[in-house]
Amino acid sequence: MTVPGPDDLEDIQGLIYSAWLDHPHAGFLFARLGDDPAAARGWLDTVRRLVTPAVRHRRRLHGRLQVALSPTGLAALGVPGDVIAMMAPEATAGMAARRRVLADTPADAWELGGPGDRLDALVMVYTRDAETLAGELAAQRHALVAAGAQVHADELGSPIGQREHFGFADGLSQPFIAGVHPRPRPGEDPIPVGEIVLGYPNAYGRLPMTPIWGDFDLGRNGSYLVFRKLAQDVAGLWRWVADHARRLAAGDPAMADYLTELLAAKLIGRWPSGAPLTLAPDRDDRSLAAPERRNCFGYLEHDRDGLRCPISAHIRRANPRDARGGSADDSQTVVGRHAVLLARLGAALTALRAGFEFIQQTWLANPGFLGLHCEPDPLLGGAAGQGHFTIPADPIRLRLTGVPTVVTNRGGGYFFLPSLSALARIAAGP
Amino acid sequence: MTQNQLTHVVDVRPGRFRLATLWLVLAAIDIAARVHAVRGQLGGITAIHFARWVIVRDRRPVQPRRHRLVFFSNYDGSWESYLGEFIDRAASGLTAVWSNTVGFPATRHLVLAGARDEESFKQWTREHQLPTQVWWSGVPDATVQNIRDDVWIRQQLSRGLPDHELETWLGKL
Repeated sequence: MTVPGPDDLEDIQGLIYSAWLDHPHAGFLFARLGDDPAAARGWLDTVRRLVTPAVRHRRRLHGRLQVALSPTGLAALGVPGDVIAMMAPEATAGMAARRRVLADTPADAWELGGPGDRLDALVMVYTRDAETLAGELAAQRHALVAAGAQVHADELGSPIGQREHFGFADGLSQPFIAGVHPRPRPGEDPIPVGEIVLGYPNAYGRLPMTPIWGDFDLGRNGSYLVFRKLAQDVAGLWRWVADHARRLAAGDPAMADYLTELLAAKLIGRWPSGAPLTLAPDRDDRSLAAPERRNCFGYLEHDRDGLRCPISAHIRRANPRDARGGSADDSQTVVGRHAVLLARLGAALTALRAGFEFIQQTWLANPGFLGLHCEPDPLLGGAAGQGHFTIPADPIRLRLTGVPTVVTNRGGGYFFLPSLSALARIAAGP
Repeated sequence: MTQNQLTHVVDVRPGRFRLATLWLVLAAIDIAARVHAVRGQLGGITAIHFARWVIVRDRRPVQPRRHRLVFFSNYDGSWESYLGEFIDRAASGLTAVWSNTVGFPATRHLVLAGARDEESFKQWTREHQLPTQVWWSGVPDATVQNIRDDVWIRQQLSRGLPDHELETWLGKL
């Protein structure tokens, strides 16, 4: 079976199918489960019946709910250690231990998942309005506490519009999973289900490693989930950009305004509307931000040297498309093996090492990305004022120095998003 | 972090045949590398600064006496990316070397399968890796690509550039 069948879609958690953008209010509860595995399993057995699957007809009317568990959470629920050891080693090590790979700040100051802060369970609630969200979160918190868990303060996702905090359209370029998502948009290449969901062949045509409990495949129809709590310094980004723009405009205020917007777009690789610089090099063009056009481009043909979208621009580093080096086909094959499915600002479904960690380490935080020198990603590269940003231009490039840290990691964790049947199996106990 | 280091130690399969095969394969790679890999790439991989295999006698008191194969490499970027390049571009050569060692994913005809079995190959590599306690790099901030670009920029400068090539040269700065 290379794609999920109808039964599998009832088994797969809905977050893999949709980011629930029609439920813009999102809240996240992070819990450390209590010492009594039976009580924790009692909680799981109740909450698992509320979990939203990928199929439409099994969804509740008033909201969406997903449950993810970390390896420590599985242990607290009584899953044997030798089963947990079959999970991805990065998940077992935990995000805080992967600091060197992720170019993260020391975990001591993290608000989530730092030393001694065990994140066992993550309950994700999505609703259409803030009141329903508050009610649902309170009910879920009560159920956790009643089972002996300690729960962090509510983490609320700001109601999702189409823009992230810096003011740019976000989440525009998502992998299309054959057999799970209904149909690809233009410019979206399908990736095999096995790149995101366990139990199906990946891009190498092989089944990814999975934890097996007795004769039950705990991994099948599940996915790994990365949660990051990121602080964005909005004023800091725009101040830095405006300072450079003023300097370059040499006293022309209208030019300074234009350059402020242009330089910020160069950092991102898209204009605020989402129109890609490779298609719209000089000014924002909303028509190119439409879903059927915004991903219809590669870099090799018209923008090989980055004169439109710089090599170091955030979207070009996070998804080099056809321009990772080598031929266009080679590049797209490799890029297709390293995908994350963004579920909301801060949360993504992905293979941990081949997906999230690969993109962060090899493309974003790598100061030598594709021939660049000492130049990590301007947003997520962790340069801390040491890096610069090169904008290729004719006849000679413009180099902006002292890129400030505008995104800071405040914590997070690696979780597993089990299938509905795996949640039932875990709740049934050893 | 621009460069990383990999140190890997694994037992050679017992018997003289395996040791001889390994020696022959390494000798062949050594010759090929001296001829072909002098322009900033090794077997199609552009991220390798240095790679070295050494056969060492196992001094541990085990019977029968055997050898171990040590692999050192200084490379650009991430482990995951480096191993991915191994699989995509150099699987035959690497399989020819490591199929003579213990625990390597199943191989056919010396060079087939083996390193192409992605997850098993990475798992096997991880199991035999040692933490690198110290390594030295003369240019820790530079990738192989950076060095090639720098050499090219300098060479063109001393050659005296015609106007139409000046554009390309300026673009590399």
